[in-house]
Amino acid sequence: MTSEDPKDRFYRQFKISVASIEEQISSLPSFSSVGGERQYAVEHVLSSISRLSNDVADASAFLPAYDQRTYSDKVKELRDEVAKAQAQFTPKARFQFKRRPTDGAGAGAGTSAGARLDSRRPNPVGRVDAAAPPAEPKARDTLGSLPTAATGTAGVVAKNYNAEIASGSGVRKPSFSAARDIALSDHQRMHITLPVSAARATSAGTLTNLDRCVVDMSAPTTSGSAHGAPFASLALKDIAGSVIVAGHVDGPVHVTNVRDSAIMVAARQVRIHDCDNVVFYLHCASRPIIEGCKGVRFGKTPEGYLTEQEKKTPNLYDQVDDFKWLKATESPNWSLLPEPEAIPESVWKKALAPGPGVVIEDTLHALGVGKSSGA
Amino acid sequence: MLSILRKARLKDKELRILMLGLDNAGKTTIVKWIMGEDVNTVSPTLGFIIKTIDFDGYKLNIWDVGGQKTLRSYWRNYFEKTDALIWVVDSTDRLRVADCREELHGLLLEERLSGASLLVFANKQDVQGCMTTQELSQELRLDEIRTHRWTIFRCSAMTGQNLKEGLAWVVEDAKARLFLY
Ligand SMILES: Nc1nc2c(ncn2[C@@H]2O[C@H](COP(=O)(O)OP(=O)(O)OP(=O)(O)O)[C@@H](O)[C@H]2O)c(=O)[nH]1
Ligand SMILES: [Mg+2]
Repeated sequence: MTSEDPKDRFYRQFKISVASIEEQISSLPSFSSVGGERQYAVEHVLSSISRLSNDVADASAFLPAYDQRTYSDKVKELRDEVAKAQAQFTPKARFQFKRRPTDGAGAGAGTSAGARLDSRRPNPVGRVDAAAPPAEPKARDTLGSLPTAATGTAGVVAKNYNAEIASGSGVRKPSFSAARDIALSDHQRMHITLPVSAARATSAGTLTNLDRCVVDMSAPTTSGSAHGAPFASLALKDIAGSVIVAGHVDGPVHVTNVRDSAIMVAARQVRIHDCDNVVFYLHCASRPIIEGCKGVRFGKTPEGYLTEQEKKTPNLYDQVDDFKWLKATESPNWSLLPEPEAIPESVWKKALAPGPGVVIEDTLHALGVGKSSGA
Repeated sequence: MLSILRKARLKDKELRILMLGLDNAGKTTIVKWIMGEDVNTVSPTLGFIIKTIDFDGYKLNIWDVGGQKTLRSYWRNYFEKTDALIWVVDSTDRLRVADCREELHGLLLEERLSGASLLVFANKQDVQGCMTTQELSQELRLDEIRTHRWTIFRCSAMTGQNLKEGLAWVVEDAKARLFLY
């Protein structure tokens, strides 16, 4: 540390700083304007210049007035350069999506999964009425002797009651109270009504691989009812020709690869993927989104299926964002369900009420599903 | 150029944090909770959101980018200058855990993220029956990660559990790696 003249040292450091700032300025155009990258870089250059300007001011103690002015002029010159560079690109005020040829990856993904739906066990027309009568003893929770499900379920739980439903013909009353969460999978032509005893506070629900089923989960997820509690989240995947009355979700509903079906649900978020020809009866506290869908229609959940709390919150069911259609024009992939076509509450209640000898197709038809679901 | 920017930022005690994960993981809800905003009316993210948080004397610029499939191809626009990557996982989502693993390991191959540490947030731990951090570490094959310093925290954006602790890890790690020069 010999006594280097502070003027010389300052001169050296100043030169280094200027070089680096000039390099930053010259590279500004190479930053993407998408995502504010460029703005971010500009702010950095400007803050570097401010620092340099402060350094010059601090150095006034030992700098001759003439030098000081030269340095200050250089700082000003740098600022002008930034302004010039900025003028060359008008910053976009809003995030914009660039269209890319790779679009559509999502749309194809679900199709192959859908093929799995038709190969499942040819079940007798079963109506699994699980709305347990008052006398139903708790002992039914022990399901250990039942055969395990022949087909894999997606989750690790709930194999037992899936097996129980599947092994039943006619009226069965599965018990769900031993399960940590609700996971129904691999059923065909079943009418499944979840009992209130299936309610689990803050648990997740999963429904996968259902074909021509009617599933009613409205009772156990209604927090107003005796023991009910809403789902914390719900996933519906690989469902065809079915009616799902999903009840209440204190969180998101994630829907993937559903076709030719009707879904009723009240939730905080609704996220819909790869769906085709599905009617949604929603009460949604945020904007529903669709991605890779076509022919999806939106109506309101009938009043009688809402809790008092839900009736008070705004329903954004009609403000749908289509991630595959980020343009000002209307998305061709979704539409609102015209009032006259909406299934009225009385029809829902009647069709979903348990009753012996009802053919599943009739229930589906009554709820607007199953005209020509193919396969 | 890059290193100059980085140094400038470190002097300012600023960190750039990129928050990614599948759609529905809870990224926006986490940010909202930290900011003390309402967590009940969050809509899925179209694009991205930047929030600046003052944390422990550091300025954290958090980039919360939407995770919908359509948006994932845009993630790369946000890689540059990232000091830490926060990967948020929905611990209730068993159906997509493989998808989650592939997206994560894909990111870790990105050269522009090579200098970033990784915090995995196993979110939604308030939900019964969700995957534990042990399960998730296995499912996501975290122990195979050699290229990045990483850790996993169980957390909940509903109760706020462990969110601050996670950020504290990010800051500590950054201090150790970056603020030495
Ligand atoms: N129970 C519970 N729900 C959560 C938690 N975190 C988020 N959620 C819910 O999960 C849903 C998705 O949360 P978001 O924050 O929108 O998810 P995101 O990761 O930002 O999703 P994208 O913007 O699409 O990428 C919301 O309905 C939240 O209420 C949590 O810790 N616990
Ligand atoms: Mg978000």
